[in-house]
Amino acid sequence: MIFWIVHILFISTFATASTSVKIPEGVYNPLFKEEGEDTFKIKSFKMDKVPVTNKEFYQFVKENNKWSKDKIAPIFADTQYLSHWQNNRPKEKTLNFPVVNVSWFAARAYCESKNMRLPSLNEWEYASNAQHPEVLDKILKWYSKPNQMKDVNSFNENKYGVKAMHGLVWEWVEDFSSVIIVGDSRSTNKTSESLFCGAGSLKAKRPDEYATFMRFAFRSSLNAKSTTKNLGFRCARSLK
Amino acid sequence: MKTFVSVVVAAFVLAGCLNSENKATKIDIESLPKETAKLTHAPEVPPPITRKHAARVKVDLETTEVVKRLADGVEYTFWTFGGTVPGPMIRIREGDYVDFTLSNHPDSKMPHNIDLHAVTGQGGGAEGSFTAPGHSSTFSFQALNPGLYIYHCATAPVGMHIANGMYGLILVEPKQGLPKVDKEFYVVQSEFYTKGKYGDKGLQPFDMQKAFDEDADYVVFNGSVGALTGDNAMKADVGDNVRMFVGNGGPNLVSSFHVIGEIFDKVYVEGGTAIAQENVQTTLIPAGGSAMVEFKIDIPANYILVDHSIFRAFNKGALGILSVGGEENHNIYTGKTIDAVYLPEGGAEQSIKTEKEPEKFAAKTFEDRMEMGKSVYASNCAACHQPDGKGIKGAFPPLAESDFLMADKNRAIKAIINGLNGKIEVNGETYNGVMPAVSLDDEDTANVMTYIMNSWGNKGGVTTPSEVKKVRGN
Repeated sequence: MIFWIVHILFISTFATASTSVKIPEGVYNPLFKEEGEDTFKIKSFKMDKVPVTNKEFYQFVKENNKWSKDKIAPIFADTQYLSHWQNNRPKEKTLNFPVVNVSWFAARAYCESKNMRLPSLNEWEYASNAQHPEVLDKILKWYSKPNQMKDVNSFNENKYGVKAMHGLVWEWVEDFSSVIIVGDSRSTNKTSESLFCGAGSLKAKRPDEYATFMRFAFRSSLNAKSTTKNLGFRCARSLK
Repeated sequence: MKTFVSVVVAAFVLAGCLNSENKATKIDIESLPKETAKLTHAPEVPPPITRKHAARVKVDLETTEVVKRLADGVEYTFWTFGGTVPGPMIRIREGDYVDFTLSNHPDSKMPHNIDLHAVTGQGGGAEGSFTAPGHSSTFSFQALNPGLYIYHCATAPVGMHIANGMYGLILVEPKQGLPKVDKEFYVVQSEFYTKGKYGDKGLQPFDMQKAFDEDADYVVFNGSVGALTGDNAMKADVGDNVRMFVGNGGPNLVSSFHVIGEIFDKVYVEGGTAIAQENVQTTLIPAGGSAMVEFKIDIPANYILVDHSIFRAFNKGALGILSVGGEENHNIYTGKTIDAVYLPEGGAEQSIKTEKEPEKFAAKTFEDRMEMGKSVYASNCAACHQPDGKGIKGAFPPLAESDFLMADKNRAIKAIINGLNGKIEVNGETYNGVMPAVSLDDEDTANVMTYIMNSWGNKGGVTTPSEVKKVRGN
């Protein structure tokens, strides 16, 4: 009985959908570029203001049972999928924390259910404003400390009006594997494919951008079904 | 013609066989006896391998990102193999077939992998062990070449993964084994680059720019300042044959490895096994390289391990101690026998601190002063007066239970501020040396005074900065 009351209250507190922000068009100067590419023009698009929360993902799983921990097909997520939840639901205290331990498949399915999609790598990097020196410094500080989960809203807006792009969790992007870093990140010798070490440093526009190196290395360690404790996502939508 | 062809083919086949016998021993992997490697944390070394045949050895290593002590009052987020810097030591035998599993802890922020310099193959295993947080990877290799090898993480950005502590040693024992010794130790030198300067308190983040500039704040043995001194000193006895497995994790600096008061009888240069150089004072250990050093201990002493690029030793932490007890032998070394005055230079000021004063945390309580005094002592005084305050007989007077120290507090403060020359008598022994002035401010002087007057059995109460100021004023 008590369970049901709690349950109803719990559900009634759901927001309908997280708000998204219009990111203006602009130019993104990628860390790694192919020949002839210097900058990418990014078209204006919409992106979630904050990462998807446990609360929101719980609602999604309830409505789409095949993405629940018990039902999900093993090819879509590894065994740690949603492992921070208890009895298939998030802990009360973590409702507004970003959802983590989700696979790329699950993240994608979530966004589709909202008529959205995952942001592309270039969109994400552009919107994160990661190349700003101050932001860079903040990111490096995050890497230097063990992670602590926080409310997604406990961050300031960046220059585009989105929050918590850095300093909370890593985030999935649609084409996370488009930049191939092989397991031994020093083995390639062709600058057109390589990112790291000798060739990587030559190819990277700004070799001191260690923070960006780390994001690319992290992404390339993942499979689409991988889930990790510090990896969440947010959704985006193209504008017509 | 046909015969000719078959002869050529036969020759090739034969050459192929000989060639493969040279290196990779043909082994039936499935029939090898299985065992799990015993891994040890520095300075402990896994036991020598006594079996006379190859085995299939299981090695499990976990990568974790943990906050630990880098120096007194200084913490750092280390990226580690096995939770420690250096990572555990692995000992296998030439020809062993190793099944290596690398597990990356779910709490890790970074993917990791391992490049073992003992592995022949893509990336030394890095390619086969690239692992996202919360996952594990397994690869296998045959140990073809004996020797002492560094292993390290090779995930991009490689420099940062190494700078944060991801390295250790793997020993591949030659088939015939290594000569038997009495004691073995595992020591790895490496350096750290922090936002703050050496000794700045708190959780210090990694400083990328300093790493680029190869401008290290800390150069240490076994992952932290003091990991091999004081209570953590290595211990041996007179008569022992000692072998040290010494690695250099880098990421940047080459070590001039030296043990003060000892001569290496043998050095297996660069960790190779064939040629041992004899009678060596200082051996170079490249970043990402190693050396095995052996020596017989003839007399009791505190043998001090240093990087003889000497500012690293006395100002950045590269100090370790091998403490040896036992009977003295005056045929080898007498200690001081003649004591005479010779003082042409007087007390030159030894300036240790830079001009800019770091932000200071002012001690409030006795406990604060003791704690902060301890780290001032460790960086400015312990090299002579020793971590245990007992000094070195005949050369550096003791502070522990010292009648000279305890008799006159202001005289002691003066000694720190102005230095001290000439003959003094301490606990019945006469000393005649020069103590340079140590340029400490009032706060640090008060803290170190409080520390030495209340440690090792001394009970002398608090010294405050205002007392120091008063003495300075006189």
